[in-house]
Amino acid sequence: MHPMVEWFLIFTLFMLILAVAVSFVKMVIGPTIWDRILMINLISAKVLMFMAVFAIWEDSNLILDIAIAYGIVGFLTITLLSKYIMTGGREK
Amino acid sequence: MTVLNVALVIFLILAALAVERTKDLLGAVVVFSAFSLMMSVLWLILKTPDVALTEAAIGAGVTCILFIAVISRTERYEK
Repeated sequence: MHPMVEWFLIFTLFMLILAVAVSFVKMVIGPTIWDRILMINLISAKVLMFMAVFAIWEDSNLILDIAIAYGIVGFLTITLLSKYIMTGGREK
Repeated sequence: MTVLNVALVIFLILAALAVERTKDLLGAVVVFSAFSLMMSVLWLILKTPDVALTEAAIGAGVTCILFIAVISRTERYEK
């Protein structure tokens, strides 16, 4: 791999981890459940990108399969959580 | 790459503390989902993709759904 391309991939990985860190701070201090759901959605997307870039960096196909599985499962979790809150939950 | 590893472990410690400190149990489930996600990335960096696949499917998916089902039948806020 060209050294410039490799440097660019590592830089992208660090930027994605930084984005996850900023979202994580908001998720911990988020007063309502809506902030937390929004931030878990954002972190899920960022981790998906991280896995794709990491797969290019490691040059392996298996990591891309994990990214696909995580995309499906993360969508399922967020949808069920939103549906539970939409029906009223326990808060009324 | 070591810097990335250390950053992810610090994330894991902070997420575990946040899960323990949160009073809203539904919010704690969301933070636990983020914890599981970080764990999956860490397994990926440690070059065990099969464990990462299991962690992503069970830790972030099935466990969260089970916890939401339990919270919908009991209390939402910790007393």
